[in-house]
Amino acid sequence: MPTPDVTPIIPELILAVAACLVLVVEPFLKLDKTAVVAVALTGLLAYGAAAFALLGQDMAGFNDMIVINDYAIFFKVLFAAAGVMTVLMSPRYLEAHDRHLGEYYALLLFAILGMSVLAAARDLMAFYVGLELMAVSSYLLAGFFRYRLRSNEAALKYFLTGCFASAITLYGISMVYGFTGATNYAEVGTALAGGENTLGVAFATALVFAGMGFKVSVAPFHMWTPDVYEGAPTPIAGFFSVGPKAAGFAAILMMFLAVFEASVDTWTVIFIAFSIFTMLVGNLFALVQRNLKRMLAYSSIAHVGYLLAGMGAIGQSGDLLAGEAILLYLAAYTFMNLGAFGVLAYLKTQQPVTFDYTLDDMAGLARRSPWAAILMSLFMFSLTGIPGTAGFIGKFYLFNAVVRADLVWLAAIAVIFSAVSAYYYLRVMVYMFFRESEEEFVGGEAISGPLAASLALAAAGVLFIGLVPARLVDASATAFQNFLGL
Amino acid sequence: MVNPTVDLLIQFGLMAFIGAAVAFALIAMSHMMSPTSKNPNKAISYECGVLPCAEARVPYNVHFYLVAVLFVLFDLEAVFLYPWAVAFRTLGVVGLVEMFIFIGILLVGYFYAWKKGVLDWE
Amino acid sequence: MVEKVLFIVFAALAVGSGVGVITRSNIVHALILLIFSFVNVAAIYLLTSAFFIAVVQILVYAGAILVLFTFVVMFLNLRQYQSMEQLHPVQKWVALIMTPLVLAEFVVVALAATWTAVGGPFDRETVAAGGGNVALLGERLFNDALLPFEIASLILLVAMVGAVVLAAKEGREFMETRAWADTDEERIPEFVEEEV
Repeated sequence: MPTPDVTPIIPELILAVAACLVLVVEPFLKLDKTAVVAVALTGLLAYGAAAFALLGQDMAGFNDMIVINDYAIFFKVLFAAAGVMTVLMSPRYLEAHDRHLGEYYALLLFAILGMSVLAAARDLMAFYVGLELMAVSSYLLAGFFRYRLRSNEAALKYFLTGCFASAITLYGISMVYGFTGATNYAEVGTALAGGENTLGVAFATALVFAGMGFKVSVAPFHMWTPDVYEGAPTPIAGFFSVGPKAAGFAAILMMFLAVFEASVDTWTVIFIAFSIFTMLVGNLFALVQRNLKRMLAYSSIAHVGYLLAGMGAIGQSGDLLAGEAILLYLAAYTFMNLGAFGVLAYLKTQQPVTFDYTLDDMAGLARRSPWAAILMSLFMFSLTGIPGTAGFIGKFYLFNAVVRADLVWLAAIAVIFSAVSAYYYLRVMVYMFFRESEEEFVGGEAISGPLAASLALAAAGVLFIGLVPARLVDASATAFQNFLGL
Repeated sequence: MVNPTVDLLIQFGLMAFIGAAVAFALIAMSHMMSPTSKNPNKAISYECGVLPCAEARVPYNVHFYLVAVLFVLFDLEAVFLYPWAVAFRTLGVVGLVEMFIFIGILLVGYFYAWKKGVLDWE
Repeated sequence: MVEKVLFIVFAALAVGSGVGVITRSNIVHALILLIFSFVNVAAIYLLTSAFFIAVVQILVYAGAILVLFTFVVMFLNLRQYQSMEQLHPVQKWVALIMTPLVLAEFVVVALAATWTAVGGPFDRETVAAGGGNVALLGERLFNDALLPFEIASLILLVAMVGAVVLAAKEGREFMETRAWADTDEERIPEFVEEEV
């Protein structure tokens, strides 16, 4: 038998080796945590660099199960960026909770590896193992603070609903396999386009949609999100809100455009209906949250609603613009949301005991820690979609694509909900700048170098995408067009 | 014509049934033939020792769980080894390398668990 | 004909014991019914000539997984949970409405859809000619499905790491000097360490 060509998975190989090293470096070489963090960072950077070096490649490997092309590379670089930011904001936060273990970084790298496979998979089997690798690592990261009830609750809820969702996805996949006798996306797509079996296929489509909907927290499958984000370590909550979501959307785009292309009319309606409901639930529940992690969780649900509107636009018009806009939005969202969680992680390291992520804890922040307040404001502006920030560019392109797909009413709903979201994002700033803290603030330590670097990276990303969007727009356009060529 | 699988299954089922029946019959026979005493004293400690005062079902050490998880994982590895071994001739050297990578990844976990003291029993 | 009867018998036993698993309040009884359910599923695999899968079903599910379940049962002092009430009173009614709806959906789809499953490339003759189930499975697994196979080992590795992270004992000194960020009530009591 021939030796398989490993070129398509070089970045993943690097990441897997790095993750294994992270795991063994600490217990075997008795090195301290700095070395572990350094290994994890080096691995992530090498992974991103390897992906970047492969730019322009377009090849499939391992029996056409996985591809390397601009679409996969776009997501790999995005995951690498999210991973680097998460790793940088973690050490001090974990120390503040007395649970700074090397396994944390290993699990994070494994989760990114699963996401990477998920975005590059062109086969239902590779898709599923990628999904599971991501999911299993995520459950463990959510429950990493095993001595805290909330963390346990988060892990248990995530695990139970996640397993259920995986099983539902798998059931849908097995039905697809039964109908077509194939697992390769292209083959399945061709077989489904040629066959009839509309009700059975629609059912399988619905099952896959529901399962993936759980993973990216589409309402009404979103119930786990606020509890998990609240209980998980803050950097991990930030990571959950961007990484697995981006990977989920990478897979959803692929699945529904390549595999379920034949039933496009059915799923367009599904996506539009769920988009409206998700925007509604996310924005309305975010309004009443006083805990910032829960607020950001509901706001992430709202953002998923906007992205679903983009999916509806693709189905409606077959317009490439919406697909490009989704990639752009995911990139913008990665920086601004991870940045917001990074600021929260920083505040927690400052006051490990008293800070509880509530709005009241944010009061007077502008006075005692002006930089944190300014950065938080930047991220909140960006999440609202104020011009000059990444969030604006993302929303602009996304809603524009929705309008061009003749879904003006849907775009109007999305814009109205964006306006509603301004209330809960800007309220954070009101507390930071115009409310005084009731209790005396005990001065914390200076911000740690890595955490500062992470926040600077996120802010730079937000401003770069917001002010000079051309490069990223081009990148997402090439990436998406390239993927449609399969 | 009866499907050969079904034929096989009937033979297999017969064997399983006879095996189960023998086991059950032996237990039932010893239960029926042995003399039994209804005296409550029979249930308490024999001749000396402390009278039982609480439930026998106390929570176990969580250490057992770790060993059980390791067992399940290496059980799965063994399951994968079986078809690999049967198809080994056609797979050749590449197959050997594939399996080495698979086992190698699991060994990383094994050594990690070892170093973490999972296998130490105090 | 014989096949059909046998299938119905095994399927009924598997489903019946499955229902038993979720209705028994005694967890040990539920576990034994679960084993019985797994064995019946294995018998169905045998009916379809999937011998290897049947053996794996017995070895891994009825063997290893059930061992794990039994251990988990033994860690917990289950008596204290046996009388636990349903905490959320509305949930029961929502479930009572939603479950029949989902069931109805499944039934409608099952009846209305035309199930034209596509057969795989293997039938009894090709399997026999190819050296049997296990050899063919090995060839396909290590050629076509190589990538998922290797990723599966990573999933197993993550599971191993996870077990250690969640359950391994830490040094006692470390436990006592831990600075708690949470309130006292939020703290999880340390694992019970009574030896058997």
